Amino acid sequence: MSRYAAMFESARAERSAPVIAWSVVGDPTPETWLDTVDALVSAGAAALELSIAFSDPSADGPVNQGAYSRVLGKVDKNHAVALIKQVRERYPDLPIGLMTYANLVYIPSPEAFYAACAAAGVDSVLVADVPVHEVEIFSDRAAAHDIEMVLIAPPNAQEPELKAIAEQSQGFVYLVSRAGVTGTDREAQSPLKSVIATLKKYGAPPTVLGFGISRAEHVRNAIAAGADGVVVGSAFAKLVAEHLDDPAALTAASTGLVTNLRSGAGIERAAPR
Amino acid sequence: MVSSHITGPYFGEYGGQFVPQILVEPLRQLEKCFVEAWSDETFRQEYLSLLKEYAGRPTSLTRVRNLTEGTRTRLYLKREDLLHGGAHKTNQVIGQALLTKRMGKSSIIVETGAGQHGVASAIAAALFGLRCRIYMGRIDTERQRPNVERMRLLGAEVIPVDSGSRTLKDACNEALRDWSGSYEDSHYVLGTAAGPHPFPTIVREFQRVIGDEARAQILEREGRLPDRVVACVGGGSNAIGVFTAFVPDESVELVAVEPGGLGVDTDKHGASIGKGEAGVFFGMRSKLLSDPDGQIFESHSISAGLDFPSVGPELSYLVDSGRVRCEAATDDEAVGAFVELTKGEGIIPALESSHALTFALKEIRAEPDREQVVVVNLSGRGDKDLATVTSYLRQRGEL
Repeated sequence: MSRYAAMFESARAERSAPVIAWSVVGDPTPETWLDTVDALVSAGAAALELSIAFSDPSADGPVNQGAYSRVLGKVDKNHAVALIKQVRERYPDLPIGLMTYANLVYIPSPEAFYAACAAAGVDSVLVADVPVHEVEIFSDRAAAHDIEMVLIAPPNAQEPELKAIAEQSQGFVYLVSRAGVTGTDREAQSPLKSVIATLKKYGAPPTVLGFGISRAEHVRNAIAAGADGVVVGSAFAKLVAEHLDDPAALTAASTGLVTNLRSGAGIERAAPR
Repeated sequence: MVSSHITGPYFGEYGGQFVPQILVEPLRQLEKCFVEAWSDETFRQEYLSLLKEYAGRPTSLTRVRNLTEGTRTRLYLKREDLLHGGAHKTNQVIGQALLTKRMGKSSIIVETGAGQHGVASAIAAALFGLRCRIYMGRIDTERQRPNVERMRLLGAEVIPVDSGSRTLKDACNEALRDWSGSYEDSHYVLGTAAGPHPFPTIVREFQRVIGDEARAQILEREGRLPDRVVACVGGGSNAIGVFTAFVPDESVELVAVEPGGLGVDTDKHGASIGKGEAGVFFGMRSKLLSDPDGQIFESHSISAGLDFPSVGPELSYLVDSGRVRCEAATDDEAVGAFVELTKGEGIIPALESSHALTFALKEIRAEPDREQVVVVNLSGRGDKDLATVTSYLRQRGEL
């Protein structure tokens, strides 16, 4: 069973939904980042969604761009992969995904990228600027290294796209419930029940809602609308920005964020009869 | 393939649609609108009549009188500098503004480097009653101040971009970010024949009027095709615009001149075809400049309009296939040609176009005895560059 499948199964057994924590590898420094990862996981983050800093993150809002610029030029790709490997060694069962941009995969070569991911123990890769009809650019290399390919389902996708996303996304489907880039300045909306229903109709893996998740209420709404989990991203990057000079305060705040979000993740409807 | 594209999204291995999934639907809507409009005689007539009555087409083909002295070359300039707005950009912006109206959208989003595309878009927005948001790198707003003032006077909102290298590529990112949240009522008027499909095709079709006219004009004047057509390349819209009509004419050599900056063997240039490799950026697979990790390079050129680390996919393809020859001209050479054309012919060219001119002159003067006909696309006028050129010449003690 894949690490994601195991994660969703154990969450169901606990009548909860997984809260996945996003961060830029090495933000704000490699040492502090490793400590915050520990804090996030101890507080109950069920998986990590990680980004390698990129010069031109066109799907990200200002808060996440800030995270990229803190790291860019300080932690290169090899260093980031080595850090991910350290996290994998510490947490053998934790699902670890990468969210990245196409040029980081393409250069020097997709083969080198997916081989490095596999060696570091990465479970999945989501490429933010590769929509479902362009996945062939990377899909054979991902498959060759047993890396799951996660796709995004936005609220404006038509049925043929949702069908393709349902059929091709592996591990989970990353739901986005509103237009725009990452960030909490536009709050999460409840995912469209019709989007989830269409994905399920075509046999999609579990769905996870991202973009604009910062409070327990967002998590509750997501789950009530049928999402199987959530990703918290820019709310965490904001904490990093607020505690740049105080790693201890950052780990405490990270713990607080995940604890708060998890309090919205209970699933009443899943109570056994 | 899920998307049923109406026109081909690829040129060889280049092109495609490398955007977040949320932008696939607005791109499909745009493609459908363009394909229907382009086969609609009423739309075409409206477009062509605006180019004629409003923008001033056809533009002249001017034979250079003094610069070619001592050679047997007849050199012609395709005068896009005379177009309303001061550059070729107006050709395609009028087309995209008409598409915006046809899609029922009320706002346009624009990225600009030198500010020529921004000015053209602000003009079209004023004409058609569209709201206009223009993203421009902070550095570009400083080096192209007159154009910023023009855009604001025309009623557009100019938003300086402080992320990344604060130049054109960052303005492109910001425009994409805006569009991913505003596509319901906003159209992104992408400024060059690059970016995700269908933009490279749409912009080429709206710009090919340059080459269609130039080809007919040179046949009328010379009774034959030119030996060579030369254009500068940033994103590539003036080059693809003047080349397209000549692509089937195998005897005509097509030369694309990239910004060599301080030299293509330094790290300060924008020669994305000559020095770049295939990668994925700004919604397309094309040639680009990036470091060994895949981080996009911060290009350099004295001309803001060429200061871009990638290039349209069709030009990448035409160079790979051998149809287009790719060369470069440095900042220094471009300023030289700027001064020469200004003093020698009484025409002040844009620094962008000066790259094409300097390279053409270099080859012409290297073969003074060759009898030949050369066309240079003078893509824009240089008023916007006066401050840049003046300070450059002062620094070198030449003014």
